[in-house]
Amino acid sequence: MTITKEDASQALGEIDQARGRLREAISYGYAWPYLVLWGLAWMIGDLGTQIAPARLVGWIWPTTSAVFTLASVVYAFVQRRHSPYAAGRRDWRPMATAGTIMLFLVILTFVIEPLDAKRDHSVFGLFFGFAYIVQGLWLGWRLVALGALLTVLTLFAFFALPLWGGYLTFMGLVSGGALVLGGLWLRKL
Amino acid sequence: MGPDEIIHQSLRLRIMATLNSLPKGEKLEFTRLKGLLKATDGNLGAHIATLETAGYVAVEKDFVDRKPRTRIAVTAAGRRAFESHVGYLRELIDGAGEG
Repeated sequence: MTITKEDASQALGEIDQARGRLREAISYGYAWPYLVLWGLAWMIGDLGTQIAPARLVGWIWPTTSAVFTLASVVYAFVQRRHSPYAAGRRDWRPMATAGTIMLFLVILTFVIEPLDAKRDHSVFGLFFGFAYIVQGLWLGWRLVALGALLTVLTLFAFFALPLWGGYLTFMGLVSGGALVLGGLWLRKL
Repeated sequence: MGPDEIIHQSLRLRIMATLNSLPKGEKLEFTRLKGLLKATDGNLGAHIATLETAGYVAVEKDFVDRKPRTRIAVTAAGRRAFESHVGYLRELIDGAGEG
């Protein structure tokens, strides 16, 4: 059997590609349910805030966040036990990372207040957008694309739409919807 | 050290690279492997059979919720053969010689 240097180089490239593909699939497999969950949270939180009576407006997002945080934690335990990849069942780092991010966001809320509601909301939108971009740099380009989309949508809504004149509806439907569809897109892989 | 003709075929190389990336003893479902490698059932099945005959992979068939499931794992011999073949390819590129 004769293998040239070019054949060898191509073969090693195919090996790297196959490894990268597996790494992506494992990462996307873990990530997609949380994108769908938090996309739904975003839709409920923002659209709920838009239509809720004035006396309930301040409760919508804290309640939504608490419910979906609990749902995420429960799902994380279930996912870990039923992971198709044994390594995932032993790896505590994804949950620790999510917990650390949640804690940071809670602390950030206290440190940056008072902010007007639109700025407050946009900070979180931009945070998640860039967080997905950074995650995607390590895990796969689809997360980069999703993070970039979220960032662009948040910036558009912040500069173009008044809080009660379309911002919340746009963020809920379009940004939340983008997260849900993005999660389902990752699921296909 | 020389090339492994069984492993060097493109799809078999990618099968071995994928399975070799999993932790020791871990199995991957046929359907997942097919999706990862964008292969057809017949093509993938034929190459897995070749690797199984060579002793490089082990195929396990069972039922889950009454649905048939096929899982594949690389064997210890398969890991050694793959690592040896990759070592050969790297030496070739580093200019140690041509096969």
